[in-house]
Amino acid sequence: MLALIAKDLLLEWRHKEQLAAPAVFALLAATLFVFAVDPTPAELTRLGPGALWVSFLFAGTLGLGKVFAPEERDDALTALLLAPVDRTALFLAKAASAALFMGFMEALMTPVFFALFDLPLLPILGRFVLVAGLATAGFSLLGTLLGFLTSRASARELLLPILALPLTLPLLIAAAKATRILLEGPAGPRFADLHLWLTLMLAFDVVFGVLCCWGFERVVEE
Amino acid sequence: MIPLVIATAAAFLVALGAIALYAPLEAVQGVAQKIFYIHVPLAWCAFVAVGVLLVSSLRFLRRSEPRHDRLARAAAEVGIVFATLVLVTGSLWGKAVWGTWWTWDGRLTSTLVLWFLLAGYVLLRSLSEGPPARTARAAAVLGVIAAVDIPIIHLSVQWWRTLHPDPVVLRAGDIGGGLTPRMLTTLSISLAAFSLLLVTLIALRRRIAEAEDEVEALWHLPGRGDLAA
Amino acid sequence: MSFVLAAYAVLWLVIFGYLVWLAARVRSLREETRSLAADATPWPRSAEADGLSLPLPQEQAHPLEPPIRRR
Repeated sequence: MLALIAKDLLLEWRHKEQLAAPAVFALLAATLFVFAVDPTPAELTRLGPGALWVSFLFAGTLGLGKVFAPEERDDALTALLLAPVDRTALFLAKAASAALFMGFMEALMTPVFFALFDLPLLPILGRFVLVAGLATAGFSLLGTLLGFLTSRASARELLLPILALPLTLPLLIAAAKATRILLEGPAGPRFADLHLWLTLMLAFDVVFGVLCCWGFERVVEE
Repeated sequence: MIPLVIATAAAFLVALGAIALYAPLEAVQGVAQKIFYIHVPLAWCAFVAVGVLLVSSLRFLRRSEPRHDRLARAAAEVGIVFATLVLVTGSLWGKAVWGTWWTWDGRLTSTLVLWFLLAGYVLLRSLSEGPPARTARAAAVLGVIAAVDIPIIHLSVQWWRTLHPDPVVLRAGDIGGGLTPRMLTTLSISLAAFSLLLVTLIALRRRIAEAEDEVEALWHLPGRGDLAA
Repeated sequence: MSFVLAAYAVLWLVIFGYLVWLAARVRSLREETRSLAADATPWPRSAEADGLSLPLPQEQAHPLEPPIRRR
């Protein structure tokens, strides 16, 4: 399983520009948001988390399409499936590399976003990483499965976001709310709700982790 | 099939008659409340369609019998028709009663997401190009995932609203609250009529799915295997 | 009142529109079945094979009309 992740990471490292493209896209989306809304600094605390997460998820769907792309070429997926690897392990390896790509993009862009929106990152860094980790994990699990389901569809670049974004709506809501609560600080009016949103994301990750492994096995057996 | 169509038509005649003549005018909303008698049954049918989608997808994944797949296909497409009607009638009702086409309240918003999920399911089916058996399995997995996701989405949207710091300007109101017995009877008749309509449409759509599968099989006759690949 | 009328009008428009769409689908499927069945018959076709009954699969489609795959 580690070998599979390593293979994907190596492939990605060979095409560094592919790794950079979603990050550039996320940055662009956030910039456009500021131009379109023209918020005051006070409004940015309220609107920034939403803009941040919408940009991340949109950029994330760009990365998802590539998860199975190298295997589709040369029918390498069949070879991978024939290899003595557990299907669940194969799926989890794919999801893990998707999460790593997306996490890399987020790690790169989060400081830039916080600087652009003039929001304090350092005081909330630890908890923000937890929020981002939970959201990224769930999004990658569902997204990897959807990337596999749509791998034979025409216009899949379009189909994948259409499927992935509504299905992961709970993650978007929870991540944006949690980030905003963190920004408002312990004195904020909703600080007690933080654990609620974290629990929601954790439950989402567990439910769809199990369901996606199950679904992947069902589609793969042909 | 024909008895079913006749029963549906008759049920609708009775239901429309009851809505127009038997149901009393509501004190506050007046005539606008008559939309309620189609809006609620439509919503009920949309959710039943999702239930059918879930059950038949699960069955198809377990047994791989094409008839379960055809039922899932039919339920999803008919579900979109009903979900669209829920949104449109709800919007018109909202405009008439609250003076707004749309509020981002929990129920409305999760119905909108439901519409997106069903549309995604139908799009996946129509855009897939691989072997039909694989498309069917992929769609069945998506059907299960979407159906499981709907309560989670509903919950999160509910929290999203109620935990919102800004005051909620408009509330959906206690729809089921102040119903008189006559209103309840009318609603039940309408509910029965719409359920029959749901069954009829799904049955019709399933027939067509059978024809679709036959055509698909013709494309894959041995003689044209190379062309159909 | 106009909103109520609009709601009921939309209801019937959508449902009957969907029925019409289904009917069109049935017609095109029927035509496709017929032409596919005819394609599978060797040249010269017999009159009955051009019609309703489904002929046995043949090794080759007839050479004059190369069938075009949908989608």
